[in-house]
Amino acid sequence: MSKSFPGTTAVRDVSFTIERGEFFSMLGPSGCGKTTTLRLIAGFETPDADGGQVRLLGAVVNDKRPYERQIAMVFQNYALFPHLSVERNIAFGLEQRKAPHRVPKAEIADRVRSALQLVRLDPSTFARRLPAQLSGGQRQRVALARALVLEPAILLLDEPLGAIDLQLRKEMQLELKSLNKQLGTTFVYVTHDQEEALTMSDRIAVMSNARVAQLGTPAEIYENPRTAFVAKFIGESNFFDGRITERGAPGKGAGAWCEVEAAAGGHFRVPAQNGLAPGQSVRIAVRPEWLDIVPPASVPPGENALRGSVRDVVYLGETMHVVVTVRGGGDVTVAVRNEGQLINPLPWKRGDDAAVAWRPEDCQILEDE
Amino acid sequence: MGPGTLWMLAFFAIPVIVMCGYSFMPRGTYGGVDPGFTLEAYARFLHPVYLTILERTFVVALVCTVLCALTGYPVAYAIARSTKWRTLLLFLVVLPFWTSFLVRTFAMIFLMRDTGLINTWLLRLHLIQQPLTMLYTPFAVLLGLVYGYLPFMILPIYASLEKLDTSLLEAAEVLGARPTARFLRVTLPLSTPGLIAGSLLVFIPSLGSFLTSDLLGGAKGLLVGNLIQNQFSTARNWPFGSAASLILMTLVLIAVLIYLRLRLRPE
Repeated sequence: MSKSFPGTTAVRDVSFTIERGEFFSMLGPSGCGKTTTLRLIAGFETPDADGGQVRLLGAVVNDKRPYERQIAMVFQNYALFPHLSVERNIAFGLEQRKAPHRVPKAEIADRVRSALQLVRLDPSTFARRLPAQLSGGQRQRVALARALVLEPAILLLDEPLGAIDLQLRKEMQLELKSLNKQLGTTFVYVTHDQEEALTMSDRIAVMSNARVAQLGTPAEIYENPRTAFVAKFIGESNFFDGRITERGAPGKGAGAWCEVEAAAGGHFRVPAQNGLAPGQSVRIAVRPEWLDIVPPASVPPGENALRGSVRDVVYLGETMHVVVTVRGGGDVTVAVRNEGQLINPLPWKRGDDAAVAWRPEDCQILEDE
Repeated sequence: MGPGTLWMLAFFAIPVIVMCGYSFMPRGTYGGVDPGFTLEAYARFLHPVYLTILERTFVVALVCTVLCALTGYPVAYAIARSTKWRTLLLFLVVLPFWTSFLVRTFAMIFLMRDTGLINTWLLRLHLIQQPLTMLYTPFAVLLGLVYGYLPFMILPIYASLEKLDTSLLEAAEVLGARPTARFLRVTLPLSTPGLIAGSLLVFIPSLGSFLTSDLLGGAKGLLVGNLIQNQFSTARNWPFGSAASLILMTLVLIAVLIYLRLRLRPE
């Protein structure tokens, strides 16, 4: 489906299928179209007239208002009713049900209590409080309870963890993941935080400029990014451009390969994929953790290498990043595990001669965007 | 002492204290007051004639407030919902303030009197045979008051509605609320502060109004405002006028306190 607003196309030819019970995330920078897509699924927007469809549980729902779709939603700013207590907020959806689905008062009270317990808020403490008397994390849980009490088939979440501090956010990510598995509800999640998406999702749709750039499991997205955008947006990547000079036959233990003359000088090998022929330009992404940093004379046989000198050593806690300026300009970042700088420090410092090396198969050949 | 306190002192506290003093003093022979202490001004007020006037004033002010709320809320709602015409509409609401209230009230006379604009056209179109008596009736007084005070109701309600977070309405919609339910359970409760503010801004001044009832109500529609005005001009009974003012002020305070108490209880 596509969706345009005056002056801009927010969503362009976006198409995917979400499995029942899946935790599906839409990930991308601001303005990529992920929130608009979520609102199209919810029913707050309708697709442009050129044939886009939203199908929920098998039925086309283009003409259905949000309250006619079997969805519930958690909003970015929680949208709790400020004039209602926590229990009235949660009961709101149940109270709207008319005959023949009317819910009796006693049952409403029970379900509200269960919903509060589901999100780990003690009913006796929190039921009567007003949203203004809650912390950000507590409001988020109430918003979640308000949605889940309706036992929806599909739960839509619009960047719900944005305003919460890091520690609590990590806890909530695990809780959301566990709720998804426990309840079997399909979660459709929108976020700009790639770590969040990688942690929680079964599959991720990475979006950019109103389109889906890549759709896959966290492992597929992270280890096999298809475009430079995805390689850059998820984790970190070093990029190398070059032109193919020759294509070689498979050798002992290795498949067919191509020799590439790097734009920045030097050369490296990549696995030969279909369609790679001499004369073609190619761009690869190599993640910092796929690189090794070695003394220039000690490059392991068969590995690609670029020579340069160490520009910086960055302490990141779990990892160390060594930034090497290679011949031909350009910085390459190598990730090395931190074995404790106080007991076993890295032997690298600024100005040292070094080579960055990687096995030819440890790269991603990128498509044009 | 900040400027605000000085202002309140000079233009509010001191005059009220002076008036309070006058209300307990005997009436002067040629107007003004004589020294002394007496309760005769207050006792005089307890006469049925004056109590009727007080009751009538309250009823008129109440009906005026309710009518303003009923007509003002939809207008405020429409302005809050419009995007293109909003500035123009707000301008139109505020525009009457740029003309004198007296002039506007006279305009109502020209509209409503037997040879006025409305009657002339109704007669010309043969919709009526005799001119309708509109002027010098309670209807005329109410119309004049509502016309005068309507912007005071519209603007606070608009301010309340304009602040309403649209994501609340979306949340209500996705939870199953149809448009009517969304209005009754979300929009209306959250615009109540504006409604209260508007009601107070209409009720209190209309209690003290005397111009409208004087020009449009004739001799029969005497309100407390007219009574008090009289005491300080032709009747020359300052203590009585002061006593009436203070009684009115006290009753208003009580009414407002009760109203606020009722409205500010959480749901």
